[in-house]
Amino acid sequence: MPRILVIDDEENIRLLYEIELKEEGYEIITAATAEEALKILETSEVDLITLDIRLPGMNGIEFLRKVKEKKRELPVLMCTAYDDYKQDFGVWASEAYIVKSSDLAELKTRIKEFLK
Amino acid sequence: MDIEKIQVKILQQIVKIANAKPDLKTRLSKIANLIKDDFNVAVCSIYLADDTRNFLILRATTGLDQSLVDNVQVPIGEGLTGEFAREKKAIASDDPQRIFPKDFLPKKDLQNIKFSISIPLFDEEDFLGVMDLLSTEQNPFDSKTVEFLESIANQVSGIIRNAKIIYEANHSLSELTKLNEIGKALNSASSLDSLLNLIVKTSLELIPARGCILRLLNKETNLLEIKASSGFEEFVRRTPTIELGQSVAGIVGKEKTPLLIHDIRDETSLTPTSRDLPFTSILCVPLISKDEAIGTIGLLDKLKGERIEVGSIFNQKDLRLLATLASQAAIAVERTFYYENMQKLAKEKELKIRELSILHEISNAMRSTTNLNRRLYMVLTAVTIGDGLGFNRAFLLMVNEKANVLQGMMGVGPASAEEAGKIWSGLHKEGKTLTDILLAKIPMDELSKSKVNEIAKSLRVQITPETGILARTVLEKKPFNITNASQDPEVSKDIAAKLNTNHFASVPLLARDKALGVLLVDNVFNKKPITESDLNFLVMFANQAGLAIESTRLYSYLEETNEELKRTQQRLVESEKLAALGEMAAGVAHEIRNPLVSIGGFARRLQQKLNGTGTEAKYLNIIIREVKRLEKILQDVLYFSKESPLLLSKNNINEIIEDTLLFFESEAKEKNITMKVSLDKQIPPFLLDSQQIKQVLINLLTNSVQAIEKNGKLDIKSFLKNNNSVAGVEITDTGGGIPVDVLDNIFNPFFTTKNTGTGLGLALTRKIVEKHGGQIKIRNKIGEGVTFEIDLPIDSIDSQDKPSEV
Repeated sequence: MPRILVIDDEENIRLLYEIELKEEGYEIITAATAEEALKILETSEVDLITLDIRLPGMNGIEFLRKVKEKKRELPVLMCTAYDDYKQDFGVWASEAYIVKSSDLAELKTRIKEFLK
Repeated sequence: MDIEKIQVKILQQIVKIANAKPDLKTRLSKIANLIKDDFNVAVCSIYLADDTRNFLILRATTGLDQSLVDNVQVPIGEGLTGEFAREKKAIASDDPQRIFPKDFLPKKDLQNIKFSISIPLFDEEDFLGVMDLLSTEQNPFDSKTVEFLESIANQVSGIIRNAKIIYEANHSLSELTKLNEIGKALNSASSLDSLLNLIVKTSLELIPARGCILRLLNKETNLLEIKASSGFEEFVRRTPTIELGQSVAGIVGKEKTPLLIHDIRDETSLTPTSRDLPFTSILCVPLISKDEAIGTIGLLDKLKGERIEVGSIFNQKDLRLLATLASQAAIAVERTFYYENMQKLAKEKELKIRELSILHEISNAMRSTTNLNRRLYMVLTAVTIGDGLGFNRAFLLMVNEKANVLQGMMGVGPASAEEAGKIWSGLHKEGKTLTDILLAKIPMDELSKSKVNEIAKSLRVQITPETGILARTVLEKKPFNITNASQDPEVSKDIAAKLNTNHFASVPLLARDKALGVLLVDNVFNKKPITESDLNFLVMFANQAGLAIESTRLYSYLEETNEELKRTQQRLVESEKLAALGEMAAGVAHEIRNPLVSIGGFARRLQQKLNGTGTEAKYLNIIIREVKRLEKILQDVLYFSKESPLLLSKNNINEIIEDTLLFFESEAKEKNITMKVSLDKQIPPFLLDSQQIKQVLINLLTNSVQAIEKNGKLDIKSFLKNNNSVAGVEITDTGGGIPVDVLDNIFNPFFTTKNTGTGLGLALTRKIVEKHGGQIKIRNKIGEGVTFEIDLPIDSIDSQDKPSEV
């Protein structure tokens, strides 16, 4: 069962993602901060990360750089409320950029693409 | 009684006759009677030579039919009677055939004539005529009697000579008197025309002729133009002008000397058509003023007058007479000409002042308003009221440049002659001035009911030269004065029938060398002809009116521009507001979006769990829909307020379409919309921003789905076009189409017909398509639906250069 790490400071979002993605047949680990996520990554293997950009403490972009230094192949989907970071998404070398929506159809489609 | 006594008695009687009062012809007739009785002859006739000494004319007879008097002409030299020109002595003959030229007298008169004697009448060397005696007896006279007859002939010669002297004296006197009278008359003539006619009339009185032609020299064209004439109407009509130096009048005018021609038919060198002229003799004298020929007077075919001496040709005396008359006439002509010119100038000046004051009044009135309709009405009123230009009716047609049509706008004037009378006298009674009337309100009620206005509005003409005079007025920018509309090929039957007048003028309304329209006027009721000066004034007025109309147009254009500016300003404020809003939205997006994601997301979950109908499901639907709307607003605002550059990557447009359609499946099912999707698999992947193109498709599909109420059809197509260089996407709905007044605006930002929405959707859509180098178009069928066409170039900059990238 593919394992996904959901990083978001909003508890509700983490809960929603967890429920929805579990139903899709994934194992979900959540983290409220980048620091917490880094700790999890030290001990656990994950297949994909959904990453919020604005986070307390270390922000999403910094986290992305750190993760990509070690695990180049690990797919990271940027999930954020900010549209305007989109243009930088190529530079950050994340795999996808998704604007958060109450409709999780797109998120699920993209995840499926990476976890075939 | 012995012969001598008889002779004395005869001579006494002749002397008595000679001294008697009656005119020469009566006296000659009495003498002929006397001779016939006293010498017992069948016929006694007296012939007198004419001025030319070519003919003998029967002037008195006893024994011949009296109707022959004045009508028998014997060429001198022909017959016995004619021999006197050479012989100058009495000639007797007993051969009646020799007596007269062939067929000269009716045979019956000469049947019994056995003898004739002709006695010449001489005044010294001057041959005056012949006295002819015809007898039925053979040789009735002895030589003594012949001698006596010769002495009687001497007496008769004396009578003729005296009569001639007296006649000439009298004639000279009457001519002088006449010339004096003519001089007076000529100097009192009131106009050039009446003067010229007077000259013709008096010339004919002075020297009776069958015709008289007066020509004046046109100094610009060097042509002698007929200005007055009498007789020979056909000739006058045919040759109204003669070139200086050509023909008789032309030579007279050029050489400034008179010409006297006995028989023009012999003068082929003067004029080539001399044989075909309707007259033979001509007397032509120049009219000379200050050494310059100003014209000619020509007399044609002298009339045989009552006067014996006057034959059928003009003589030197006639020439002197006419020359004298001409010199007086020339002075009078010159004087009248100057006088008339002066009067004309004075009148013109007076008219100009009046015209200028009218124009001034009108232009002042016009300045009181900037309303185009009011100004148009003023123009027409000014043209039709008596204190203005005074035409009966006026129609205004304006140029519609887009349709290339001249369209009737307004018409002013009474509907009938009776109504005209009422209106005109009414205005007069009220004592209103031009300005009063012009400044009065437009009687909209009256105008809308007016028949003339109705006619005006029905006038519509394509602006091409073939459509006739109205279009030509615009195209050639010049006025036309039509005098025979029903027959004029330049006036279309339609226009002629609508105007129902034969005489009208059409004048362009010019402003800065551009024809804005046409002013059409007529005098259909009082039938007053439209003169050259009327037309000139109208042109002047039309130019001013044109400027006035143009200025209102400019004014309203200015107002429009002002409005536009205001609107733009407002929009700017709005967009500034929105930009601020956008910034704020971006700032709080995180905060707003996250809760929205939670609300919407959990609502969806609940919906799945409830998995049914019922009120709870309905409420959840509302929550989900409203969250979706909020998210959409957030998205639009952020898209539009921030410049989002394209994130180009090679994508399959068909996949994007299919992805997007997923979003609409449920709504389409709900509304029972049949979706027909036909995608061309041949379209290769090409560079585009899949997110933004998706946004485009979402926007268009949202519009279409919303437009369809229920049971509609939605067609989505993709295809290759323009030699495979462009990918086309078409979305067609059956939503009833877009109202025309809305259509122009739908791509403008902030334009919306919905109660909810930012009005950014289609603006954004276009912005995105254009950023891709493509274009978006609408095919609108009102009542049916709309097709949005999107063209996206496949051969855009990078897609060919870097095919392997991404």
